[in-house]
Amino acid sequence: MAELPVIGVSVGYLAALFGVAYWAERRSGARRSLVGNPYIYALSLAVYCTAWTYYGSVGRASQVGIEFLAIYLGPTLLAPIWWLLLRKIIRICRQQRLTSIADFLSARYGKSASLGAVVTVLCVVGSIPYIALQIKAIAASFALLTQGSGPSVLGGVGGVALATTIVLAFFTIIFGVRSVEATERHDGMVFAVAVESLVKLVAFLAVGVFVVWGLFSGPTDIFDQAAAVPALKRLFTLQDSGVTAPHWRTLLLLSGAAIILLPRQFQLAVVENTNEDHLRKAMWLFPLYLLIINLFVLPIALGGALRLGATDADFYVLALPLHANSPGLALLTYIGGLSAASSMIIVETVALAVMLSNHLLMPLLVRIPAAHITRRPGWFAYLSQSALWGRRLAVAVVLLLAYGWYMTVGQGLALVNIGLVSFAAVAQLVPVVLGSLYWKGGTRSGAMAGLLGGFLLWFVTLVLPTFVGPGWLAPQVLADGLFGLPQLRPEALFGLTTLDPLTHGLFWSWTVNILLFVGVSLFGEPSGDEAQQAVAFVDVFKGGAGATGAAWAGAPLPDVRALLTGFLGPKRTAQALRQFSDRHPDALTSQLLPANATPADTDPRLLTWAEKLLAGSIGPAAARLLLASATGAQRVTFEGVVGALRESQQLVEANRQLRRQQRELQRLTTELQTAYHQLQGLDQLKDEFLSTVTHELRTPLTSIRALAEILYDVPDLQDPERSRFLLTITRESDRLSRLITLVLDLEKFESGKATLDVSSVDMADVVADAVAATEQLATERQIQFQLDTPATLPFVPADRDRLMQVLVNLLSNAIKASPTDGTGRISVRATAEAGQMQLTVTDNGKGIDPAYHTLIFDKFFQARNQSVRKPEGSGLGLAITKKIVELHLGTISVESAATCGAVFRVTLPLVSDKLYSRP
Amino acid sequence: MPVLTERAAQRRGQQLMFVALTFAALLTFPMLGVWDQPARLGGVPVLWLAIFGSWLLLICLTAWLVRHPAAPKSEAPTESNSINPDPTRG
Amino acid sequence: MSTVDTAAATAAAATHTPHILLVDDEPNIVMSLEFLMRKQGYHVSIARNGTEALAAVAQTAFDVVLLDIMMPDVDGYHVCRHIKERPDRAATRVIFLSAKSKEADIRRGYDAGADLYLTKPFSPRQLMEQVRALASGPAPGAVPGAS
Repeated sequence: MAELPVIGVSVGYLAALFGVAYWAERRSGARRSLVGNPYIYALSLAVYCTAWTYYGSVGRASQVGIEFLAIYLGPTLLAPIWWLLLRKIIRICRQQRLTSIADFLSARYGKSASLGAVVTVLCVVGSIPYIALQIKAIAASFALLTQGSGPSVLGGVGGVALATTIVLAFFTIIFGVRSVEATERHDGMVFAVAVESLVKLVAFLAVGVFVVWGLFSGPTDIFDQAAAVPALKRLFTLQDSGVTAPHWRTLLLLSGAAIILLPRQFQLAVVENTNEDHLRKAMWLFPLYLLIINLFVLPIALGGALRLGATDADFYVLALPLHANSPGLALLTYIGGLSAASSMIIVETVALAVMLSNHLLMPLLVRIPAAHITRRPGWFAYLSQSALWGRRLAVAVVLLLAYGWYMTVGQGLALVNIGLVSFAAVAQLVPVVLGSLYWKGGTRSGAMAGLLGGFLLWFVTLVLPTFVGPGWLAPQVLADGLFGLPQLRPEALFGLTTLDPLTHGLFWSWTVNILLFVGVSLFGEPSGDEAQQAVAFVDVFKGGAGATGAAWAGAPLPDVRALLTGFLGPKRTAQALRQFSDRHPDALTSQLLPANATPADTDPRLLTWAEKLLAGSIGPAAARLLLASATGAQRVTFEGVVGALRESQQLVEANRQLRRQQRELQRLTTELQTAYHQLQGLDQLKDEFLSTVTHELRTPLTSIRALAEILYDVPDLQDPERSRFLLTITRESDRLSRLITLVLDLEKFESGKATLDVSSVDMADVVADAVAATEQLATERQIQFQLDTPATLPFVPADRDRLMQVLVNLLSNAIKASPTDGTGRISVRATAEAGQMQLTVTDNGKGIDPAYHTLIFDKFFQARNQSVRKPEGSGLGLAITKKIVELHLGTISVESAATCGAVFRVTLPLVSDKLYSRP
Repeated sequence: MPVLTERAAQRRGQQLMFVALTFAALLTFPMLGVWDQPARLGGVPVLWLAIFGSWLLLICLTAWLVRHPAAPKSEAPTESNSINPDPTRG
Repeated sequence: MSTVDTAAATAAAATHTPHILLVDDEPNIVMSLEFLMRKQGYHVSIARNGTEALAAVAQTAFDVVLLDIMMPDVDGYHVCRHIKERPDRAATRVIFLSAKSKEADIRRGYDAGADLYLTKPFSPRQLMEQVRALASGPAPGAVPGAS
């Protein structure tokens, strides 16, 4: 086949793919994404099947039979636990806006820039041979397809490889590196990869069907024919193919690790994942894809060996159609291979370029002092442009390195061997990644030591031997060991010769890797940042979502705004800030929107947000450095936070105490005020009381003095007159002493010093005595008593004398109020019911205005309210009566209309233990 | 579509782990040695048939186990699209 | 007030027996005061409360009213003011006899127009002297010593 048409078809196919990608991107721009479904997701994961699978598996199968399947069984066996493992990684990366495996590990171990750089270097070094493998596949298949078509326009295989490199670099850049924000999904790229996965599957199946049913008459035929050839029959079993159990296990382990950790797999499975739920279908669709694409590998290998003999077995897939003179099928096969190789190159290179830019270039750039001196948006825009161009440059560098490796080392190696070395490199990440997911004790130092150790061993045991081919390494080094030390033979370290080279390499590198990682971690202490990130990673499903908290402080708002604008542009910045303020309505972002806002410290959450945004563009470590250097924001360390917390806790405690004291003071003040008012009131009452008492005392005293003086001054006083005066003096003296007793009594009751001498009292008896005591007064006023005190009345627990006092008071009160014209009637009635003794004293006198029904029991109420029932007595009687009744746990009340007498009602409990127990 | 409870989701995780480990045992030595013989079935080597058969079974089991989505609680937060899509990019 | 009137009043005092009104709700006090006034030869009327006092004042132009303050219906202040407001009772002298002995009470008494305020218990001798002086003394408002 002529070169030019093939070149045309190749470039045309790639251009068509780009068209498809562009279309898909437009669709997703219009929110009708083609990528947001599990089928595209699963198909894009099939980027795993590269030229190695497409061409190399057949070559491998023709040498060691079914062994090639291990590379696909590893991912298959891991697929069921994607739900646990991959979903966790996706969740973490989404929360922390991580865009590569280097981001992932750098972020996990305290956003360490150095760790990110080491992982990046490891991935780049490990991937370059793998990319070279793709270039080799394209170049070789192109050469094979155009074999015998005259002098090569491109200058042979090397020229084809270079042309392939350049064309793919161009396509990679326009596919994947057009925008600086790496967290942006490459919808177009993903869709193109999915299409390519379909193309390569169809092409490979076409070849398989062609070989099995075209060249042979079905699988049975092929296997039968192969069984007849001993060299091929041995391929039917593993043991006959020379595949050992450790080797088989090693392949499973390596491929299991590769399916998640290879930069391109991480890119498509994690970064480009649009929905965790897509995993559910991908978990079985992807293994199914692997199964289908591998169905015809062994038949094609056997067919190739049977038909073509021992020519380059890696290209049986293409050679068989060519041999059978089917140029159309051959071209389709070539396109399938181009799909497998180009999709791998594009995705892998994009992933590596982002890592290189974020972990090697940006951390260096943001450390340039210019960032500190001139905090101008121009610098940030420049940085942003640098990141973009850095990535483009990285694409070119990676592809050129791969090309260089292919030209120097790779030409003589089988495809699969190259791929396995890459797998082993990426496998060095396994311990650290698993540790970051499930072990909080891992530290940055441990991870660094483990990675460097494993990387070194990987290089010695697996890479060094490949240098023998191009003559970079003397063959005797393999035999005699490094530096002539037999212990350091690269493929038999310390004399370990029982393992195949791959297992040997993996064993030593993993052993050193794991021991260093765990050991160094255990003998160190995670920093605050590391501990915080450990929780954010390991406990990501336990709702530790925003576990980062407020870790930034002290950056002026305009600086942050300038920084974001520089990187994202004004439009994206405004959009991002709007989203932030939507999410945190309480944060002060509004100040950010006007360009000349007053400088104020930014909300710490905004700084964290900004850090995440920047991390999407330049990686977490560089983002942190940039934020710190460009805005002056300070990382608040865990220890710092604890210290500040402790301080503020003390402050809060002090505040709380102050508040408590203040409250206490307020309460005391209020109490004091109340007490003061009470005292004032009491004082006033006391004043009134005193003046009333004085008045009441002075009244009889006046009579006594006047009469005594008259008796003295008028010696010629007639006898009846004299005796009348003397009698009055005696009465008034009695009144005076009664009054004094009452005042003292009242004081006793008021101060609570009064005691009761309680006994069982016959109420009828007391009433009779009280009536007798007041009978004289009543008779004087022509008042009649009516008693209703049945003999069946129960006894009352009471102080008899006090009860007597009550009755006398009430009777006197009634007598004084009753009319003196002979119509006065006072009835006393006692009844017992419901455990209570009720005593009523009813008169038909003046009555009491209902407004005064409670007031009359106040002491000297009458003295203050002269218009009501002028006291014949002191005005203290009812007050004392009430006190006595209350002391007996009883109640006293009055019912009366203003003109028709009054009913005083006393209620006493018939049974009262309390009463007896009172002091 | 039925949705798994938290508890069932945890159980499913363990079932998936069990499936993975079981087939890891089936598809490695010494278990694999059972099929690692030159015998053929319908012309096809038994080892080839055994591996592809197990493979298919594993796929079917996995598909069956994950037929229901997880409980909303363990579902991803919708942060993914919060800031990225800019329709006018490019 | 003219000196002619004063002279007339003095003449009247000289010619007729002074008429005294006793106002108090304490019978014993009234009893002793009545005895004293009668013994002096005065004409005595008695009121047991404010209402009776007002009625008495309305009927008779007393020379001297001995007035208690704390009474059940109408208090002494009111009675005093009433007397002083009546022009036809201008010659009536008012003496408060009260147990209210505070400065404020006394001032209130004089504010109401009293000619004298005596606190209980008082000396009958002293009281009699004052009553005598007032009953035959100058008209209210006149400068003491004008006679």
